[in-house]
Amino acid sequence: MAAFQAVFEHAPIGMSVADLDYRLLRVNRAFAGLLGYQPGELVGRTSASITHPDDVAQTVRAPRELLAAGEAAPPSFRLEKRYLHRDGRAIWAQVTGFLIRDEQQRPRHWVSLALDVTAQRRAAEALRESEQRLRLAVTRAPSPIIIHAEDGEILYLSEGFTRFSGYGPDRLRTVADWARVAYGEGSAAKLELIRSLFDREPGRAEQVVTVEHPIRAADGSTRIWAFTSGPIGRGADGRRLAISMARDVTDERAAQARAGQALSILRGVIEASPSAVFAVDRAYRYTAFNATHAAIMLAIYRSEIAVGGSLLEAMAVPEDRTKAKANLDRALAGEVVVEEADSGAHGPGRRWFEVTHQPIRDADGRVDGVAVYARDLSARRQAELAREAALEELRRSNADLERFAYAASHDLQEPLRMVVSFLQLLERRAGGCLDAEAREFLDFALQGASRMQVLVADLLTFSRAGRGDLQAEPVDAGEALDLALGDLSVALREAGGTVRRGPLPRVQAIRSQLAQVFQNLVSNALKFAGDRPPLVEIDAAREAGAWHFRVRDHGIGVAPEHHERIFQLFQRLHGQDRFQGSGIGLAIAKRVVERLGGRIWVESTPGEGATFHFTLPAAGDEARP
Amino acid sequence: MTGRPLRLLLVDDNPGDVRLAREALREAGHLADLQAVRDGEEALSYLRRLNGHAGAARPDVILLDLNMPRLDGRETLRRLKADEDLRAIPVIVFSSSRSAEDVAACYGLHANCYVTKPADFEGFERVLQAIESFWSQVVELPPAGREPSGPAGPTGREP
Repeated sequence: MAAFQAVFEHAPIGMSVADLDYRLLRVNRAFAGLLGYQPGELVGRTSASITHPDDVAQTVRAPRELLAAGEAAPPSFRLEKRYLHRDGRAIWAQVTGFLIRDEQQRPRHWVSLALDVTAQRRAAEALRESEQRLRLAVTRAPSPIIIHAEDGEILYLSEGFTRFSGYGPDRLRTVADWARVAYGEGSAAKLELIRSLFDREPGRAEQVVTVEHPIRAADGSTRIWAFTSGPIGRGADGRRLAISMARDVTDERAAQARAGQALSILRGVIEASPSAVFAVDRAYRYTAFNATHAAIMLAIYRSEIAVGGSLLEAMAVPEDRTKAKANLDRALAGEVVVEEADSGAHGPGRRWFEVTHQPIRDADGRVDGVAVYARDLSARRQAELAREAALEELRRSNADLERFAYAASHDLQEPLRMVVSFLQLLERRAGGCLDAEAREFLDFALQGASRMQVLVADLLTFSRAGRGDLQAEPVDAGEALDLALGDLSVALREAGGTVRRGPLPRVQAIRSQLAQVFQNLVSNALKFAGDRPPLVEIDAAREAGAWHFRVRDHGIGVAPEHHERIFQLFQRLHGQDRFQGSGIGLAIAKRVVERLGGRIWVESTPGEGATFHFTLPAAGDEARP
Repeated sequence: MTGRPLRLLLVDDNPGDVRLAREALREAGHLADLQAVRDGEEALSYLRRLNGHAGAARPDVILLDLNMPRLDGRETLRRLKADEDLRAIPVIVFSSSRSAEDVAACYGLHANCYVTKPADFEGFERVLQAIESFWSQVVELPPAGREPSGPAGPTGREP
């Protein structure tokens, strides 16, 4: 009994002995210490009086129920309750009450063991609260989060999960439910992937799985979710747990795809461009180039280029390299440089380009490279050069022809002069000795030579008409006509002709040459007047930038088939016996008008006269309306 | 007026023109003294009495063609007018050219007049007669040139 006493007193667990009403008869040190008392202070008090008010009812009920059960009752009850510490704190204890009976089996005492479980209770409480917070955090999360146990049960499902997928906790009990609705036929593989999460060790970064899956939402649409998944240890019930957090990247991926597509189209456009496009860094190394540029570099310099290779080294012609470097340096200094360049001027494949150098800036605005666009102007430039060469050739041959005509007609005059002069001298000195036939021959020879003199003189006049050594200047066309009519006054009087004239403008011309045109046209009108007294009408009308002159007669006219021909040199429509002339007047008029930048033509119906038209540029000093 | 036939020096490479000039003067019945040389070089030698022209008489008037071999009319004119001794002799440019450039150039080189060669004999005759009568009967020529002796100098002049 003494041994029992010692155990009771020194046991580290709280022990008490109470009567059947649970009034304390004895308590050990551990029990009194649990509540902050000396053992003596608790003797006589009821258990209820040191119990937390909320737990009094069960404290009273448990022993009563056991007593009421009589002999069938178990030997003890167990409950968890809160005592009240002397300082007012609640002390959680696991209490086991044993009913002690005497030999007649009559209940005599309660012996109770009280185990302090406050720490456990607090830990459990904290765990519960923590789980509560986790549940809250997960379920309220705006992005999809799912936590499931190793047996597949889904513990938490976020609101974001429901919002993006259309599926709520009511429809998704297990990850198998989820795999079925979200992945359809691929669900088995996905389930295996989810299961494998538990093979990983929780809490280590490399064990986190990040992967994107297309999922089928409840509304039938396909969405792309980027999952981050991993094991998160065990739950309160000991099951291993895993978490999967997802980000709905559907819109992001679509935008990326669109941007990617736009970029790839742009790349295609640049690649297919007939212009060379490339970019270099600050060290003139290629950062990009298109096929056209590569082809050009190959064609001109026999250089195969590569990204990272030097543009300058690829330019095998030193002059080109120097020029390219200068332009790139200006662009690297921030300038947009547009230059026409001919590459490979000293090599076989000379090409012309319009080259634009555009500085490329980094995020901070510093120039870290140059984009270059080279438009190939070769075809155009070669055509220009060919045209210039052809024009130059034409100018030269025209000048040659002019010099030839001038020299020929000039030099032809000399021998003709000899022929005519000595024939005349022969006729004068020897004419008396010749018979009639010989004199006739002499006459023909003289006539022919004289006629040829006229032709040569006309040819000389024509070759000098409109020669480019005089500059066109503002000329009063009326004054030029006065000059012409002055020279024609005798012819006009003899023919009984009349000239009617409207107001004439100032034009850009050479006075003597314009007078010559009027003279040739008027004398032409007099010559072909027909039977009536000649009437010539001259006027002018303004056209855009030019004056349109008309010289109209009422003579015999010109048949349409001859409208072009009459302006050609030495073209005559009539026999020498009917109309005198070498057929040069209109040719000279045409040459002069065209040299002055105008046109000349005729409109006529045979028998109803002819109207000669010509245009001349308005005078440079003409006052604008 | 000199009281003697007018001395004409015709500088022309074309023998036909020389002959026409002679015939025209002959037809006109005037006895102008016509000497002819073939080009500018020979003209200068004649006037300076060099190279076989030691006895040449100083002409009253020079008729100068433009287009000639060796020394052409323009250059001859330039040298004549640059020569202090010869520049006083009247020079008639006598050319078949009617070009305004030639006319202007010759007057610019101090030609005394410019006459175009006529295209036929009758015209030639008229022009030669006119020249002869103008220079021998109308104008006062410079005092007669030096006697055929040494280089130029005022002392060599006739009174």
